[in-house]
Amino acid sequence: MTGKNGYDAQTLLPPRGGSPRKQPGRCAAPRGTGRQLVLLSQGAGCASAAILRRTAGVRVALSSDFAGAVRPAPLSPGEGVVFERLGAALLLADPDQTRALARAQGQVLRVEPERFVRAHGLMGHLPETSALSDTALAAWGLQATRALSCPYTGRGVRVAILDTGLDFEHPDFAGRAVAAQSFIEGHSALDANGHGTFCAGVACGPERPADGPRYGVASAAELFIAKVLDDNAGGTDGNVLAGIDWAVRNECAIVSMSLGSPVLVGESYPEIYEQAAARALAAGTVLIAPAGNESSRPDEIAPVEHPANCPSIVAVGAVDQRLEVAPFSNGALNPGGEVDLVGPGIAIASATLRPSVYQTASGTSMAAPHVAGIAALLAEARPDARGAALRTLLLQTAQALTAPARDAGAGLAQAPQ
Amino acid sequence: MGRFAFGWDRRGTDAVSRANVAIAVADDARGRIYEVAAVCRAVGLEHTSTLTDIGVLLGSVELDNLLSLRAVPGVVAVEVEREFRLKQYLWGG
Repeated sequence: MTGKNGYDAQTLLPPRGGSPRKQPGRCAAPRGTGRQLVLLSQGAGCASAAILRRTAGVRVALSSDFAGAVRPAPLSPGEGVVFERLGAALLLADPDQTRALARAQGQVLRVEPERFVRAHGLMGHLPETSALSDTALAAWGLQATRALSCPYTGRGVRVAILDTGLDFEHPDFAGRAVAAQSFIEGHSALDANGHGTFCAGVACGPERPADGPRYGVASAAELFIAKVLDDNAGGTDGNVLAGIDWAVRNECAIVSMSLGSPVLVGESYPEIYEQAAARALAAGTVLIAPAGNESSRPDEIAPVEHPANCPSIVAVGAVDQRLEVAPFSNGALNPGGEVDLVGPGIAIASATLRPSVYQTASGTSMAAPHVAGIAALLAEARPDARGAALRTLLLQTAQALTAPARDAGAGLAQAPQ
Repeated sequence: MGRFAFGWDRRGTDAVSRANVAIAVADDARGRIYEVAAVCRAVGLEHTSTLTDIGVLLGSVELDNLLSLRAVPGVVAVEVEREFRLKQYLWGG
């Protein structure tokens, strides 16, 4: 059931097999409290308590009973409190109860984990201990985006990577079915640069790499590799537009293109790319591109670059392990050139050309494929959401950050749980 | 109405008289994109690709013919191709 604002309870199921904290080999979602927030329909009103009790057997109190005071005692398992004026409830539900709520039709619109929030006065600075880091299990970017605890893998979703190609014999891609096309004259889609292999790895790397921690978001997505940049990582609009056209024709739900060129302050977006992106959206394909790396914060902020500056292309900025905007990440300075989302973009580990096999790199080029991978997870979770609907879902489900929208847009992209 | 984006200064090729271009075809002309392409060729487009799924023509043209290209019925925008170059200084480490 789809409720107001496009919310859908079907996207909010807890991970298969119960709570993420009980899953062996999986990390808990960062900064979750263990409680659940439930959004109820506007019509629920006074019946909210009865709806929650009937649907999931949760015992709830009404916030009005506290006369505006803070809930005096912590919630016990199976308990909750309803905020009647907000049409929302806070519960300490067990996995079965959470699943029952997420599947409920009618007046339960959305169920999601409660998160810790920070005061704006902190200006986006988390305590030292809150910085994420790579673990033996997974790269920090997968933890930050909750890709690790996501029950989806991108299976059945086509993701196109427009870049320098792919090292097809890389141990993490060898044997994987990959569709490939080169738009660079005289070259196959083989990657001799490394950038393309890296970005493909972040978006769609395997659940179990040949060596080291997991770094790929949508491990079972169908990979479509378009070589639109040469082996010196250069290319032209014509190559890129041809790659977009190829991806749309092949019904890719997502195109990740970690490329761009700087624009001037006051410069508008290119009309042809905007039109191409709008047509791709209408055909069911979301284009995702990096905001660019031209800034030197805090002193200098450069505008979102071309082609991410097109309103119909999802522009992705970069954050670090504390979820602070990366110093190089561009901002929304020009008309239309908004930052839509941010993704992990500092000290990102992924695949590179043999014999090195793995590498660490920083840039909005690394943030964009994180978002592309998450889009693939959302696309699997919501087969009805394609094109503009998928783009909206991506923005709606982002984790808000303290950084201004100029730099972080709707916030950090989040995998469905 | 379409517009031009004179981007060749980025490529350092302002001394040349010919430029690679991308041409956007109007929504209501996408069904006859090959006819639009034929008219573009007639006004000087060296036509290399037709991207039917996004309604774009690629090719090159003498700079003097850009205005003629823009005036072709069904053309909404003509833009001179830009180059992409990834930032290598952020790469590695």
